[in-house]
Amino acid sequence: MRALTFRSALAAASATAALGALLVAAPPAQAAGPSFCDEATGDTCLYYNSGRTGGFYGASQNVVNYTSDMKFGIGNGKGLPVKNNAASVYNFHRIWNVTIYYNSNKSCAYACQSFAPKTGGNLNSQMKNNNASQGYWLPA
Amino acid sequence: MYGQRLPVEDYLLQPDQVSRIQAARRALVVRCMRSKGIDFGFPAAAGPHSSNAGKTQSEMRYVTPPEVAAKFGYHSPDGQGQAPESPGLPKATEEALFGKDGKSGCYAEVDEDFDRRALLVQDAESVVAINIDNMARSMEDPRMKAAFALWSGCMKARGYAYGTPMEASADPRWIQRPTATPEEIATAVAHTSCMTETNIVGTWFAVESAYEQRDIEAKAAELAAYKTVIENTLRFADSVLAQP
Repeated sequence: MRALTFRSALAAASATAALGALLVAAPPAQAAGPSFCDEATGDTCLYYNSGRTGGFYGASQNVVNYTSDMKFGIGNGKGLPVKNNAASVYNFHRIWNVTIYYNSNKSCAYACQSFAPKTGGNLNSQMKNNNASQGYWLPA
Repeated sequence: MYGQRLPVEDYLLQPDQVSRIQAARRALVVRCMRSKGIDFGFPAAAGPHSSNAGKTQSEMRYVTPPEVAAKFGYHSPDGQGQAPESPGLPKATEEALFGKDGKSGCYAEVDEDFDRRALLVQDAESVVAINIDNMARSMEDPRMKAAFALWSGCMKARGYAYGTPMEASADPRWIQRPTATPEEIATAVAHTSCMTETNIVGTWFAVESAYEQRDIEAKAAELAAYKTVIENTLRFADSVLAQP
């Protein structure tokens, strides 16, 4: 299990009761990944369950296709790939919006859903478990 | 459809509105930090403008311009891109921004203030639902199934076997390389030509608009109130931004 820092406490809301003692641990060198969503790197935190609960995964870059090695960490959904398995999202980036796309290749064809900086929410019922890629952007 | 807005777009925040609301949120966070004796500033809001920015919903979801298909295939014209890392913050700054628990601090205070004032920081889930659910509903509509069959026939005549445009977009071969192969480009070009030839976009726009309109009429009172919330939010954002 990876250490969690207080930065990821928001992400780890559901896990804090069990893992409270770990929340003060030093940050690991890795800034994103399973069970790690980092404010500093502006990760997009993908959660297995609605309401930003369950296993989570932090992805700090644009992702044209969530790969099979991107998997939820601790909690519900642990070990499952994040692609087509996320139910809710939090955008840790301070400036940029993030869009979650139904399709790979960051295409808004058919459907996509955006989250403002420092906001999150549930994926729409059609987007839930249909998340294939993500991209950061600024409004025009 | 180029230049045409789906009915729900009257209730979705437009890019310039998103900019104003987020700029106001940032300004309020800076002010909150100052009140705690911390000099904090956001980096300049520079970064990638999505190729989707400024497009209507229907332009994004049904149409790939032929010149884009010919150059990028099914790949994003934006490329892979990278999100920049935010510079690390001193511990005291970070705690003032997010609280010791990661759920309080200036960000939480500013957003709670938005909440208390019944203002938005982003599109409401119920409006997102009208936007996206009706897209999904339209795909199941018999008129769209007939349109997809026409499109599929057009593609078949060109040597491509896909039942729907969604199937073609989701072909796993298109994610194996960082840029489009000649085969991908040829497929995407045929795809867009067949979209035009079968007028699938016009049908889709009409079908989806009708579904949205039905939802909008059913939620007329709620949406009228929501319009006021958008106006109040923009007025508040502009007043925040007008202050030094």
